[in-house]
Amino acid sequence: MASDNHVFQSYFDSVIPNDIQQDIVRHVFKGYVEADKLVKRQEYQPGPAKNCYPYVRWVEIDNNCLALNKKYPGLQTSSEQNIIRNSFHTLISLGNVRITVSAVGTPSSLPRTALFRNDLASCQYRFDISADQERFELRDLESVKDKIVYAFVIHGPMFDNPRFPGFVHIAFPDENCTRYLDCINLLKRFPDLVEELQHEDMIHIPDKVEVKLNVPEEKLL
Amino acid sequence: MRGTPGFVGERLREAREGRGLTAVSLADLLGVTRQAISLYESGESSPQPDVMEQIANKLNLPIAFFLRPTNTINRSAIFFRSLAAATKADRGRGNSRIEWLSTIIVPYLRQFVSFPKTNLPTLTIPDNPLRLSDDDIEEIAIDVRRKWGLGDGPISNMVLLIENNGFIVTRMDLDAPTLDAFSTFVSDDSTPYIVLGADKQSAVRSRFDTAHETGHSILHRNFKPDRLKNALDFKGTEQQANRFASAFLVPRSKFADDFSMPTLDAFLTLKNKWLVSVGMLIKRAFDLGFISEEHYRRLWINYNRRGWRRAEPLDNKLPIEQPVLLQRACKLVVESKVRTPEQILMEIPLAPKDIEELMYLPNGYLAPRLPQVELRQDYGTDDYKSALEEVNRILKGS
Repeated sequence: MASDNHVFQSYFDSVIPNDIQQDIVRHVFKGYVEADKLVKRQEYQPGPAKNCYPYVRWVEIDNNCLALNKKYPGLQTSSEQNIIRNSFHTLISLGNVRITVSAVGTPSSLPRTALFRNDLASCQYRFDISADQERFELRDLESVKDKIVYAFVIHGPMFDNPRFPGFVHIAFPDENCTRYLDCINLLKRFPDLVEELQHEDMIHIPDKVEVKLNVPEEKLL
Repeated sequence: MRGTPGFVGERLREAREGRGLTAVSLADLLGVTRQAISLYESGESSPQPDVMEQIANKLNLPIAFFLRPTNTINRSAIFFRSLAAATKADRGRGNSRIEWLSTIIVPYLRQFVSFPKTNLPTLTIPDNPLRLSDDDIEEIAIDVRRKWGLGDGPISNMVLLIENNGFIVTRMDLDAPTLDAFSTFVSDDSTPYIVLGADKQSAVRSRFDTAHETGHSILHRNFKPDRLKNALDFKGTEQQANRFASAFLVPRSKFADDFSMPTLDAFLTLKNKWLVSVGMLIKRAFDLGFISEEHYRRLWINYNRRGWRRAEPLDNKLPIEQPVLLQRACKLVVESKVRTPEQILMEIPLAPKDIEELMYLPNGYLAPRLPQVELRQDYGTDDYKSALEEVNRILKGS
């Protein structure tokens, strides 16, 4: 990442509350698990099945994220068609933050070039960088209100268990979409949630080991 | 010859085996002949009061223990996990523990406390359960899950699950590396009894032991003790209990959903989820036809190379499941002032340590231990010697 100063993170956190961030993690997890089930149900050969996963995950995650607006008033989601009209992507908007979701190979990889991403990134707000320190400053956050802060949710499968995502980051691209300026590791930020999602099938055995006295009260010491 | 009135020879054998002693070693301890022990145990003679006292001392049991009449209780065979490797002494110790648990401890507590009702699912098990196929056992395991209201996912706590369903479980130091766990089903009170080893420092292996013994209680509860003497029958019951444990802990359908890559690291991720060992998951994947025989072999080679046969990763991180039923019952009796700890110790004809162990109570709960007396750190130093001389001088009144 370009800087130790996490001005993008701070701004993102001030607009997108933790509940929504956690739901994003939930939807990504759910997308992976559902994709796994769907592909396995088809009983494809292992090779073609592997090719299937990224597409099914994409559909599942985008579809899940579209429903976020039902839970959070003020948050808008839309399915946007790309310029050459061969696919759709989900756009999440709250305040002046715009989010799209992409699968990438590693947390440092950028999503493949796409016009809609380039368009959004080109409007990326340029936080004032003081020339001498090359550090982002929070001083003019007020002015951000009229601009866009663009973030990717980037994700990729866990190496040894592709049924789950291995990373889910909020990454902020520069205006040319050539590098990340800042990033939030959501799995690290919400370890309890990750633990819960990885063990969501767990059957929690309640403690019903009840012992009751069967001695009449008058016989007590 | 006066002997000891009411002495029951069978109890001496039980106590001796419970302490892991041979007849010869007990004879040596008591300074009597091997034949004398044999006569006492067969009931042909009874020990003189001074010998009786010595027996009680050396075996650390109250004399009352040896005067208890023998009652024939109706129970299944005792299933020892790792029986093949277990020595006769280990099995003897195990036999006594199950005997004490089912005929002394639990009946004593039941006088004051009601335990959860036994809830063993009614299943169609043939008279000879060894006729059950692997597929039958897979189905039975799923059936038991359904009847206990469980889905197909990982079970958070296996010991709690069976205690909820009326199993009597305890965990103790078996002091026998070849013995992991053992169990029996007592028809008289329709209760399965399971003793788990406390010396096994792997939560997942112990969970498998619990599921394995549960399998015996479900599948082999009518298996007569004599049948286990037949090596084939013994092997058959063990394989069936293993299959039950695997199918119960990791049901086929859900495991198929989870299984993606046959690598050790992928299995390790699944270990964290299913709370079973990597070794067990490899075997399960092979049994269900998820991996080829060649792959199976390769996985085991790598498993050994990584040293996982001795200890697998996460073994020391996952918490070991602890039984609560007997401990809770005893504490209820004491805290409700039904009995004082002293009364319990007096009324149960076992050593305090045995009682605490069998009820899985904290050390000293019933019989507080005396504070340890230790040698002073400065023992043998000049300061110590001069202090000692000073004390002696004072004592002499000089």
